[in-house]
Amino acid sequence: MVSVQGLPEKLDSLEPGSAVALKVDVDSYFEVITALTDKFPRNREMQVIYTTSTISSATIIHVLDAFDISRDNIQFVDAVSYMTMGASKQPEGVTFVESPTMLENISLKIEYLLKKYPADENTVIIDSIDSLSIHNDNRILSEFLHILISNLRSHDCFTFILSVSEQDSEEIDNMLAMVCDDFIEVRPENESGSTEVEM
Amino acid sequence: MADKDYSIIPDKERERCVTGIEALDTILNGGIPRSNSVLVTGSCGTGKTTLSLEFLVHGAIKEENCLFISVTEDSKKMLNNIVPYDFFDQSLIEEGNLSFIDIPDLYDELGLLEKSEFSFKEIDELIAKIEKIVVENDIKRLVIDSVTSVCFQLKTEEKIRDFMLHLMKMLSSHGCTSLLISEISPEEPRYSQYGVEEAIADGIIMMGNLERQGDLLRTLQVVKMRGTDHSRAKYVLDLTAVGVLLVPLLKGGGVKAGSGGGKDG
Ligand SMILES: Nc1ncnc2c1ncn2[C@@H]1O[C@H](COP(=O)(O)OP(=O)(O)O)[C@@H](O)[C@H]1O
Ligand SMILES: [Mg+2]
Repeated sequence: MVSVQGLPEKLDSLEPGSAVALKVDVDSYFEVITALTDKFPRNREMQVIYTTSTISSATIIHVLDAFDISRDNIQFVDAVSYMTMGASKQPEGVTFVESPTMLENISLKIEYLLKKYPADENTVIIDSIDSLSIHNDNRILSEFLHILISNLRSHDCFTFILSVSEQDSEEIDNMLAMVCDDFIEVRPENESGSTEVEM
Repeated sequence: MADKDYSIIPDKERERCVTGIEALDTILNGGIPRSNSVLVTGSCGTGKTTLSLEFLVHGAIKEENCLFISVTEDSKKMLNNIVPYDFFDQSLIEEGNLSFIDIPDLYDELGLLEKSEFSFKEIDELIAKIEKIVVENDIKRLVIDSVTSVCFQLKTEEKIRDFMLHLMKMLSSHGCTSLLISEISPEEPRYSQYGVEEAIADGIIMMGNLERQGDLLRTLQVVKMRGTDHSRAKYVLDLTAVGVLLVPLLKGGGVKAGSGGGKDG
Protein backbone atom coordinates (compact mmCIF):
# COMPACT_ATOMS: atom_id res chain seq x y z
CA MET A 1 0.00 0.00 0.00
CA VAL A 2 1.07 3.56 -0.63
CA SER A 3 -0.52 6.75 0.53
CA VAL A 4 -1.86 9.23 -1.99
CA GLN A 5 1.01 11.61 -1.19
CA GLY A 6 3.50 8.83 -1.65
CA LEU A 7 2.13 7.87 -5.05
CA PRO A 8 4.16 10.27 -7.24
CA GLU A 9 7.39 8.97 -5.75
CA LYS A 10 6.26 5.42 -6.29
CA LEU A 11 5.36 6.20 -9.91
CA ASP A 12 8.78 7.73 -10.53
CA SER A 13 10.42 4.48 -9.52
CA LEU A 14 8.65 2.50 -12.28
CA GLU A 15 10.43 1.25 -15.36
CA PRO A 16 9.07 1.94 -18.87
CA GLY A 17 7.04 -1.03 -20.06
CA SER A 18 5.54 -1.57 -16.61
CA ALA A 19 1.90 -2.57 -16.30
CA VAL A 20 0.51 -1.48 -12.97
CA ALA A 21 -2.83 -2.17 -11.31
CA LEU A 22 -3.86 0.77 -9.16
CA LYS A 23 -6.45 -0.05 -6.60
CA VAL A 24 -8.01 3.24 -5.67
CA ASP A 25 -10.40 4.22 -2.95
CA VAL A 26 -13.26 6.42 -4.19
CA ASP A 27 -12.14 9.35 -2.04
CA SER A 28 -8.64 9.30 -3.56
CA TYR A 29 -9.84 8.87 -7.14
CA PHE A 30 -9.30 12.43 -8.40
CA GLU A 31 -5.99 12.76 -6.59
CA VAL A 32 -4.77 9.60 -8.26
CA ILE A 33 -5.90 10.89 -11.64
CA THR A 34 -4.03 14.15 -11.16
CA ALA A 35 -0.91 12.29 -10.06
CA LEU A 36 -1.08 10.18 -13.23
CA THR A 37 -1.83 13.03 -15.62
CA ASP A 38 0.28 15.80 -14.16
CA LYS A 39 3.41 15.24 -12.10
CA PHE A 40 4.34 11.85 -13.46
CA PRO A 41 4.14 12.63 -17.20
CA ARG A 42 5.43 16.19 -16.76
CA ASN A 43 8.69 14.99 -15.24
CA ARG A 44 9.29 12.83 -18.29
CA GLU A 45 7.68 14.96 -21.03
CA MET A 46 5.43 12.03 -21.65
CA GLN A 47 2.26 11.65 -23.70
CA VAL A 48 -0.77 10.34 -21.81
CA ILE A 49 -3.54 8.31 -23.42
CA TYR A 50 -6.43 8.32 -21.02
CA THR A 51 -9.04 5.63 -21.72
CA THR A 52 -12.27 6.12 -19.89
CA SER A 53 -15.20 3.78 -19.60
CA THR A 54 -16.32 5.16 -16.22
CA ILE A 55 -17.02 8.87 -16.43
CA SER A 56 -17.07 10.99 -19.57
CA SER A 57 -13.90 12.60 -20.88
CA ALA A 58 -15.72 15.93 -20.54
CA THR A 59 -15.94 15.45 -16.77
CA ILE A 60 -12.28 14.48 -16.50
CA ILE A 61 -11.29 17.44 -18.65
CA HIS A 62 -13.33 19.63 -16.34
CA VAL A 63 -11.45 18.31 -13.33
CA LEU A 64 -8.04 18.72 -14.97
CA ASP A 65 -8.90 22.29 -15.94
CA ALA A 66 -10.05 23.02 -12.40
CA PHE A 67 -6.66 21.85 -11.14
CA ASP A 68 -4.88 23.86 -13.86
CA ILE A 69 -3.36 20.74 -15.33
CA SER A 70 -2.16 21.19 -18.89
CA ARG A 71 -3.88 18.91 -21.41
CA ASP A 72 -1.34 19.51 -24.17
CA ASN A 73 0.02 16.01 -23.92
CA ILE A 74 -3.18 14.19 -23.02
CA GLN A 75 -5.37 12.31 -25.49
CA PHE A 76 -8.65 10.74 -24.45
CA VAL A 77 -10.25 7.54 -25.64
CA ASP A 78 -13.83 7.87 -24.45
CA ALA A 79 -16.03 4.77 -24.46
CA VAL A 80 -18.94 6.24 -22.51
CA SER A 81 -19.96 9.44 -24.30
CA TYR A 82 -20.72 8.22 -27.81
CA MET A 83 -24.03 6.68 -26.93
CA THR A 84 -25.30 9.90 -25.41
CA MET A 85 -23.59 12.47 -27.64
CA GLY A 86 -23.27 10.77 -31.01
CA ALA A 87 -20.32 11.20 -33.37
CA SER A 88 -20.96 14.82 -34.27
CA LYS A 89 -19.43 16.61 -31.31
CA GLN A 90 -16.02 14.97 -31.01
CA PRO A 91 -13.95 17.61 -29.19
CA GLU A 92 -10.26 18.05 -29.89
CA GLY A 93 -8.08 15.57 -28.08
CA VAL A 94 -10.92 13.09 -27.66
CA THR A 95 -11.53 9.94 -29.69
CA PHE A 96 -14.81 8.14 -29.17
CA VAL A 97 -15.36 4.42 -29.06
CA GLU A 98 -18.99 3.56 -29.69
CA SER A 99 -19.42 1.32 -26.71
CA PRO A 100 -17.36 -0.14 -23.84
CA THR A 101 -18.18 -3.57 -25.29
CA MET A 102 -16.05 -2.78 -28.34
CA LEU A 103 -12.81 -3.68 -26.58
CA GLU A 104 -10.97 -4.26 -29.83
CA ASN A 105 -11.83 -0.72 -30.90
CA ILE A 106 -10.41 0.62 -27.63
CA SER A 107 -7.12 -1.14 -28.48
CA LEU A 108 -7.28 0.18 -32.03
CA LYS A 109 -7.77 3.78 -30.88
CA ILE A 110 -4.84 3.51 -28.47
CA GLU A 111 -2.72 2.08 -31.28
CA TYR A 112 -3.89 4.89 -33.54
CA LEU A 113 -2.93 7.60 -31.05
CA LEU A 114 0.49 6.03 -30.46
CA LYS A 115 1.13 6.13 -34.20
CA LYS A 116 -0.50 9.46 -34.89
CA TYR A 117 1.35 11.29 -32.13
CA PRO A 118 4.70 9.59 -31.73
CA ALA A 119 6.32 10.40 -28.39
CA ASP A 120 9.50 9.19 -26.71
CA GLU A 121 7.51 7.92 -23.77
CA ASN A 122 3.85 7.09 -23.34
CA THR A 123 1.48 6.37 -20.51
CA VAL A 124 -1.78 4.56 -21.09
CA ILE A 125 -4.44 4.74 -18.39
CA ILE A 126 -7.42 2.38 -18.34
CA ASP A 127 -10.16 3.86 -16.16
CA SER A 128 -11.48 1.47 -15.06
CA ILE A 129 -11.45 -2.27 -14.94
CA ASP A 130 -14.66 -2.24 -12.92
CA SER A 131 -16.71 -0.39 -15.49
CA LEU A 132 -15.32 -2.56 -18.28
CA SER A 133 -16.30 -5.63 -16.30
CA ILE A 134 -19.89 -4.40 -16.02
CA HIS A 135 -20.13 -4.40 -19.82
CA ASN A 136 -17.96 -7.38 -20.67
CA ASP A 137 -17.61 -11.00 -19.80
CA ASN A 138 -14.54 -11.49 -17.60
CA ARG A 139 -12.97 -14.00 -19.97
CA ILE A 140 -13.09 -11.58 -22.89
CA LEU A 141 -11.88 -8.80 -20.59
CA SER A 142 -8.85 -10.72 -19.44
CA GLU A 143 -8.02 -11.64 -23.05
CA PHE A 144 -8.28 -7.95 -23.94
CA LEU A 145 -5.92 -6.92 -21.13
CA HIS A 146 -3.45 -9.63 -22.03
CA ILE A 147 -3.20 -8.58 -25.67
CA LEU A 148 -3.27 -4.86 -24.91
CA ILE A 149 -0.60 -4.99 -22.23
CA SER A 150 1.78 -7.14 -24.21
CA ASN A 151 1.40 -4.77 -27.12
CA LEU A 152 1.95 -1.69 -24.93
CA ARG A 153 4.92 -3.35 -23.28
CA SER A 154 6.48 -3.85 -26.70
CA HIS A 155 6.13 -0.08 -27.19
CA ASP A 156 7.75 0.49 -23.75
CA CYS A 157 4.59 2.22 -22.53
CA PHE A 158 3.59 2.61 -18.92
CA THR A 159 0.16 1.07 -18.43
CA PHE A 160 -2.06 1.86 -15.45
CA ILE A 161 -5.24 -0.05 -14.86
CA LEU A 162 -7.48 1.61 -12.32
CA SER A 163 -9.73 -0.34 -10.05
CA VAL A 164 -12.10 1.89 -8.10
CA SER A 165 -14.52 -0.65 -6.87
CA GLU A 166 -16.19 -0.09 -3.50
CA GLN A 167 -16.20 -3.75 -2.77
CA ASP A 168 -13.47 -6.24 -3.48
CA SER A 169 -13.90 -8.59 -6.37
CA GLU A 170 -11.63 -11.57 -6.14
CA GLU A 171 -12.11 -12.36 -9.80
CA ILE A 172 -10.97 -8.92 -10.93
CA ASP A 173 -8.06 -8.91 -8.48
CA ASN A 174 -6.94 -12.25 -9.89
CA MET A 175 -7.24 -10.97 -13.41
CA LEU A 176 -5.11 -7.93 -12.60
CA ALA A 177 -2.58 -10.10 -10.81
CA MET A 178 -2.29 -12.21 -13.97
CA VAL A 179 -1.60 -9.36 -16.37
CA CYS A 180 0.17 -6.69 -14.30
CA ASP A 181 3.73 -6.48 -12.99
CA ASP A 182 2.78 -4.35 -10.04
CA PHE A 183 -0.28 -4.05 -7.82
CA ILE A 184 -0.45 -0.79 -5.91
CA GLU A 185 -3.13 -0.16 -3.37
CA VAL A 186 -3.54 3.55 -2.77
CA ARG A 187 -4.73 4.48 0.67
CA PRO A 188 -6.27 7.86 1.56
CA GLU A 189 -4.08 10.55 3.12
CA ASN A 190 -4.86 10.36 6.79
CA GLU A 191 -5.00 6.61 7.22
CA SER A 192 -1.94 4.85 8.44
CA GLY A 193 -1.03 1.90 6.34
CA SER A 194 1.36 -0.95 6.00
CA THR A 195 3.87 -1.46 3.22
CA GLU A 196 2.99 -1.80 -0.43
CA VAL A 197 2.14 -5.15 -1.94
CA GLU A 198 4.59 -6.26 -4.60
CA MET A 199 3.90 -9.12 -6.94
CA MET B 1 6.07 -14.86 -71.16
CA ALA B 2 9.08 -16.10 -69.23
CA ASP B 3 7.42 -18.34 -66.68
CA LYS B 4 9.15 -18.89 -63.37
CA ASP B 5 8.03 -21.80 -61.28
CA TYR B 6 7.76 -20.30 -57.82
CA SER B 7 6.31 -23.50 -56.41
CA ILE B 8 9.76 -25.12 -56.21
CA ILE B 9 11.26 -22.32 -54.09
CA PRO B 10 11.03 -23.12 -50.36
CA ASP B 11 8.67 -20.80 -48.47
CA LYS B 12 11.32 -19.30 -46.22
CA GLU B 13 13.41 -18.19 -49.16
CA ARG B 14 10.66 -16.50 -51.10
CA GLU B 15 11.30 -12.82 -51.35
CA ARG B 16 8.57 -10.76 -49.71
CA CYS B 17 6.59 -7.84 -50.91
CA VAL B 18 6.35 -5.90 -47.67
CA THR B 19 2.85 -4.43 -47.75
CA GLY B 20 3.79 -1.63 -45.31
CA ILE B 21 0.62 -2.37 -43.37
CA GLU B 22 2.52 -3.42 -40.28
CA ALA B 23 -0.01 -5.74 -38.73
CA LEU B 24 -0.70 -7.45 -42.04
CA ASP B 25 3.02 -8.03 -42.58
CA THR B 26 3.17 -9.58 -39.12
CA ILE B 27 0.22 -11.86 -39.91
CA LEU B 28 2.00 -12.88 -43.13
CA ASN B 29 5.37 -13.44 -41.47
CA GLY B 30 7.04 -10.62 -43.34
CA GLY B 31 4.75 -9.78 -46.21
CA ILE B 32 3.13 -11.22 -49.32
CA PRO B 33 5.46 -13.63 -51.13
CA ARG B 34 6.53 -11.61 -54.14
CA SER B 35 4.64 -12.25 -57.39
CA ASN B 36 1.63 -13.72 -55.61
CA SER B 37 -1.82 -12.82 -56.92
CA VAL B 38 -4.04 -12.18 -53.94
CA LEU B 39 -7.80 -11.97 -53.96
CA VAL B 40 -9.02 -9.25 -51.58
CA THR B 41 -12.59 -10.22 -51.04
CA GLY B 42 -15.52 -8.82 -49.10
CA SER B 43 -18.80 -7.02 -49.37
CA CYS B 44 -19.22 -3.33 -50.09
CA GLY B 45 -17.74 -0.90 -47.55
CA THR B 46 -15.45 -3.40 -45.82
CA GLY B 47 -12.29 -1.47 -46.72
CA LYS B 48 -10.95 -3.38 -49.74
CA THR B 49 -10.21 -0.29 -51.81
CA THR B 50 -8.67 1.53 -48.86
CA LEU B 51 -6.40 -1.40 -47.95
CA SER B 52 -5.30 -1.85 -51.57
CA LEU B 53 -4.50 1.82 -52.03
CA GLU B 54 -2.41 1.79 -48.91
CA PHE B 55 -0.51 -1.23 -50.25
CA LEU B 56 0.33 0.79 -53.37
CA VAL B 57 1.22 3.97 -51.50
CA HIS B 58 3.73 2.07 -49.34
CA GLY B 59 5.16 0.48 -52.49
CA ALA B 60 5.53 3.87 -54.15
CA ILE B 61 7.28 5.23 -51.05
CA LYS B 62 9.79 2.37 -51.47
CA GLU B 63 10.18 3.48 -55.08
CA GLU B 64 8.50 0.44 -56.53
CA ASN B 65 6.32 1.21 -59.52
CA CYS B 66 2.70 0.76 -58.55
CA LEU B 67 -0.44 0.71 -60.67
CA PHE B 68 -4.09 0.96 -59.74
CA ILE B 69 -6.50 -0.21 -62.44
CA SER B 70 -9.88 1.18 -61.62
CA VAL B 71 -12.89 -0.61 -63.02
CA THR B 72 -15.83 0.54 -60.95
CA GLU B 73 -14.92 4.06 -59.93
CA ASP B 74 -13.26 7.05 -61.54
CA SER B 75 -9.64 7.12 -60.37
CA LYS B 76 -9.81 10.87 -59.73
CA LYS B 77 -12.36 10.12 -57.05
CA MET B 78 -10.00 7.45 -55.73
CA LEU B 79 -7.28 10.06 -55.33
CA ASN B 80 -9.50 12.11 -53.09
CA ASN B 81 -9.67 9.12 -50.79
CA ILE B 82 -5.93 8.78 -50.23
CA VAL B 83 -5.16 12.39 -49.54
CA PRO B 84 -6.06 12.14 -45.79
CA TYR B 85 -3.22 9.64 -45.22
CA ASP B 86 -0.43 11.10 -43.12
CA PHE B 87 2.15 9.22 -45.18
CA PHE B 88 0.73 10.14 -48.57
CA ASP B 89 2.48 12.72 -50.66
CA GLN B 90 1.17 14.03 -53.97
CA SER B 91 4.68 13.75 -55.39
CA LEU B 92 4.31 9.95 -55.32
CA ILE B 93 1.89 10.35 -58.19
CA GLU B 94 3.61 13.26 -59.90
CA GLU B 95 7.03 11.61 -59.93
CA GLY B 96 5.59 8.49 -61.44
CA ASN B 97 5.89 5.68 -58.87
CA LEU B 98 2.13 5.55 -58.38
CA SER B 99 -0.17 5.61 -61.36
CA PHE B 100 -3.84 5.13 -62.06
CA ILE B 101 -5.66 3.80 -65.09
CA ASP B 102 -9.38 3.72 -65.66
CA ILE B 103 -10.22 0.50 -67.45
CA PRO B 104 -12.72 2.14 -69.84
CA ASP B 105 -9.67 3.83 -71.41
CA LEU B 106 -8.13 0.41 -72.08
CA TYR B 107 -11.42 -0.96 -73.39
CA ASP B 108 -11.62 2.04 -75.67
CA GLU B 109 -8.16 1.44 -77.13
CA LEU B 110 -9.04 -2.21 -77.72
CA GLY B 111 -12.44 -1.40 -79.23
CA LEU B 112 -14.18 -3.21 -76.38
CA LEU B 113 -16.08 -0.32 -74.92
CA GLU B 114 -19.40 -1.24 -76.50
CA LYS B 115 -19.04 -5.01 -76.08
CA SER B 116 -21.39 -6.64 -73.60
CA GLU B 117 -19.49 -9.92 -73.71
CA PHE B 118 -15.79 -10.45 -74.52
CA SER B 119 -14.57 -13.31 -76.70
CA PHE B 120 -11.57 -15.48 -75.70
CA LYS B 121 -9.51 -13.54 -78.22
CA GLU B 122 -10.55 -10.22 -76.67
CA ILE B 123 -9.69 -11.51 -73.21
CA ASP B 124 -6.21 -12.35 -74.49
CA GLU B 125 -5.90 -8.88 -75.98
CA LEU B 126 -6.92 -7.27 -72.70
CA ILE B 127 -4.34 -9.29 -70.79
CA ALA B 128 -1.70 -8.52 -73.42
CA LYS B 129 -2.52 -4.84 -73.02
CA ILE B 130 -2.13 -5.00 -69.26
CA GLU B 131 1.09 -6.98 -69.72
CA LYS B 132 2.48 -4.30 -72.01
CA ILE B 133 1.81 -1.64 -69.36
CA VAL B 134 3.30 -3.80 -66.60
CA VAL B 135 6.46 -4.53 -68.59
CA GLU B 136 6.99 -1.07 -70.03
CA ASN B 137 6.58 0.58 -66.64
CA ASP B 138 8.25 -2.18 -64.61
CA ILE B 139 5.16 -2.41 -62.38
CA LYS B 140 5.90 -4.28 -59.15
CA ARG B 141 2.56 -3.81 -57.40
CA LEU B 142 -0.77 -3.90 -59.12
CA VAL B 143 -4.35 -3.53 -57.94
CA ILE B 144 -7.45 -4.23 -60.02
CA ASP B 145 -10.57 -2.82 -58.40
CA SER B 146 -12.50 -4.95 -59.04
CA VAL B 147 -11.93 -8.14 -61.03
CA THR B 148 -15.56 -8.98 -60.33
CA SER B 149 -16.56 -6.07 -62.55
CA VAL B 150 -14.23 -7.23 -65.33
CA CYS B 151 -15.67 -10.72 -65.02
CA PHE B 152 -19.11 -9.25 -65.49
CA GLN B 153 -18.16 -8.79 -69.16
CA LEU B 154 -17.03 -12.40 -69.45
CA LYS B 155 -20.27 -14.13 -68.59
CA THR B 156 -19.25 -17.80 -68.66
CA GLU B 157 -17.32 -19.65 -65.98
CA GLU B 158 -14.94 -20.92 -68.64
CA LYS B 159 -14.01 -17.40 -69.73
CA ILE B 160 -13.66 -16.19 -66.17
CA ARG B 161 -11.33 -19.07 -65.41
CA ASP B 162 -9.36 -18.36 -68.56
CA PHE B 163 -9.06 -14.65 -67.72
CA MET B 164 -8.07 -15.13 -64.07
CA LEU B 165 -5.60 -17.90 -64.86
CA HIS B 166 -3.84 -16.00 -67.63
CA LEU B 167 -3.86 -12.70 -65.78
CA MET B 168 -2.33 -14.19 -62.63
CA LYS B 169 0.22 -16.20 -64.57
CA MET B 170 1.25 -13.15 -66.57
CA LEU B 171 1.60 -10.93 -63.47
CA SER B 172 3.55 -13.57 -61.61
CA SER B 173 5.93 -14.09 -64.55
CA HIS B 174 6.93 -10.42 -64.29
CA GLY B 175 7.45 -10.55 -60.53
CA CYS B 176 4.43 -8.33 -60.01
CA THR B 177 2.56 -8.72 -56.71
CA SER B 178 -1.13 -8.07 -57.18
CA LEU B 179 -4.23 -7.47 -55.14
CA LEU B 180 -7.29 -8.38 -57.13
CA ILE B 181 -10.43 -7.07 -55.54
CA SER B 182 -13.44 -9.32 -55.46
CA GLU B 183 -16.87 -8.01 -54.55
CA ILE B 184 -19.25 -10.40 -52.88
CA SER B 185 -22.62 -9.96 -51.27
CA PRO B 186 -22.58 -10.10 -47.45
CA GLU B 187 -24.41 -13.42 -47.30
CA GLU B 188 -22.13 -15.08 -49.87
CA PRO B 189 -20.86 -18.38 -48.51
CA ARG B 190 -17.80 -18.30 -50.76
CA TYR B 191 -14.88 -15.95 -51.31
CA SER B 192 -15.63 -14.85 -54.85
CA GLN B 193 -18.60 -14.09 -57.01
CA TYR B 194 -17.96 -16.85 -59.50
CA GLY B 195 -16.20 -19.41 -57.31
CA VAL B 196 -13.35 -19.97 -59.76
CA GLU B 197 -11.23 -16.96 -58.73
CA GLU B 198 -10.68 -18.27 -55.22
CA ALA B 199 -9.30 -21.59 -56.39
CA ILE B 200 -6.80 -20.02 -58.75
CA ALA B 201 -5.53 -17.19 -56.51
CA ASP B 202 -2.28 -17.57 -54.56
CA GLY B 203 -3.86 -15.87 -51.60
CA ILE B 204 -7.18 -14.77 -50.20
CA ILE B 205 -7.65 -11.87 -47.80
CA MET B 206 -11.22 -11.85 -46.56
CA MET B 207 -12.72 -8.62 -45.26
CA GLY B 208 -16.09 -8.39 -43.60
CA ASN B 209 -18.39 -7.08 -40.94
CA LEU B 210 -19.02 -8.98 -37.76
CA GLU B 211 -21.97 -8.35 -35.54
CA ARG B 212 -21.40 -9.11 -31.89
CA GLN B 213 -24.20 -8.33 -29.48
CA GLY B 214 -25.33 -5.32 -31.46
CA ASP B 215 -21.82 -3.99 -32.15
CA LEU B 216 -20.60 -3.99 -35.74
CA LEU B 217 -16.89 -4.70 -36.12
CA ARG B 218 -14.82 -4.55 -39.33
CA THR B 219 -12.79 -7.73 -39.74
CA LEU B 220 -9.90 -9.09 -41.81
CA GLN B 221 -8.74 -12.66 -42.15
CA VAL B 222 -5.98 -14.17 -44.27
CA VAL B 223 -7.66 -17.33 -45.47
CA LYS B 224 -4.95 -18.52 -47.80
CA MET B 225 -1.45 -17.41 -48.81
CA ARG B 226 0.84 -19.59 -50.83
CA GLY B 227 4.52 -19.37 -50.03
CA THR B 228 4.38 -18.43 -46.35
CA ASP B 229 3.11 -19.53 -42.98
CA HIS B 230 0.46 -17.15 -41.72
CA SER B 231 -2.11 -16.59 -39.05
CA ARG B 232 -5.59 -17.65 -40.07
CA ALA B 233 -7.19 -15.84 -37.16
CA LYS B 234 -9.77 -13.12 -37.56
CA TYR B 235 -8.63 -9.56 -36.81
CA VAL B 236 -10.61 -6.40 -36.12
CA LEU B 237 -9.72 -3.56 -38.44
CA ASP B 238 -9.79 0.21 -38.33
CA LEU B 239 -9.27 2.53 -41.29
CA THR B 240 -7.37 5.57 -40.04
CA ALA B 241 -5.22 8.46 -41.21
CA VAL B 242 -2.14 6.43 -40.20
CA GLY B 243 -3.39 3.53 -42.30
CA VAL B 244 -5.08 0.21 -41.68
CA LEU B 245 -4.73 -0.94 -38.07
CA LEU B 246 -5.48 -4.47 -36.88
CA VAL B 247 -5.93 -6.17 -33.52
CA PRO B 248 -6.91 -9.79 -32.85
CA LEU B 249 -10.63 -10.46 -32.53
CA LEU B 250 -11.30 -11.34 -28.90
CA LYS B 251 -12.74 -14.78 -28.43
CA GLY B 252 -13.43 -14.73 -24.72
CA GLY B 253 -12.21 -18.26 -24.10
CA GLY B 254 -13.71 -19.84 -27.20
CA VAL B 255 -17.22 -21.29 -27.10
CA LYS B 256 -19.87 -18.60 -26.91
CA ALA B 257 -22.83 -19.19 -24.68
CA GLY B 258 -25.65 -20.69 -26.68
CA SER B 259 -23.59 -21.25 -29.83
CA GLY B 260 -23.94 -25.00 -29.81
CA GLY B 261 -22.16 -27.62 -27.82
CA GLY B 262 -24.84 -27.09 -25.16
CA LYS B 263 -26.09 -29.78 -22.91
CA ASP B 264 -25.76 -33.25 -24.22
CA GLY B 265 -28.67 -35.60 -23.64
N1 LIG C 1 -8.78 6.96 -43.62
C1 LIG C 1 -10.06 6.64 -43.37
N2 LIG C 1 -10.59 6.96 -42.17
C2 LIG C 1 -11.87 6.66 -41.89
N3 LIG C 1 -12.70 6.05 -42.73
C3 LIG C 1 -12.25 5.70 -43.93
C4 LIG C 1 -10.89 5.97 -44.31
N4 LIG C 1 -10.71 5.50 -45.57
C5 LIG C 1 -11.90 4.96 -45.94
N5 LIG C 1 -12.82 5.09 -44.99
C6 LIG C 1 -14.21 4.64 -45.06
O1 LIG C 1 -14.26 3.24 -45.05
C7 LIG C 1 -15.33 2.76 -45.84
C8 LIG C 1 -14.92 1.58 -46.69
O2 LIG C 1 -14.06 1.97 -47.69
P1 LIG C 1 -13.72 1.17 -49.02
O3 LIG C 1 -12.27 0.87 -48.96
O4 LIG C 1 -14.19 1.96 -50.18
O5 LIG C 1 -14.55 -0.21 -48.97
P2 LIG C 1 -14.79 -1.25 -50.15
O6 LIG C 1 -13.79 -1.00 -51.23
O7 LIG C 1 -14.62 -2.60 -49.52
O8 LIG C 1 -16.19 -1.06 -50.63
C9 LIG C 1 -15.82 3.94 -46.63
O9 LIG C 1 -17.11 4.27 -46.12
C10 LIG C 1 -14.85 5.05 -46.36
O10 LIG C 1 -15.49 6.29 -46.23
MG1 LIG D 1 -14.18 -0.45 -53.25
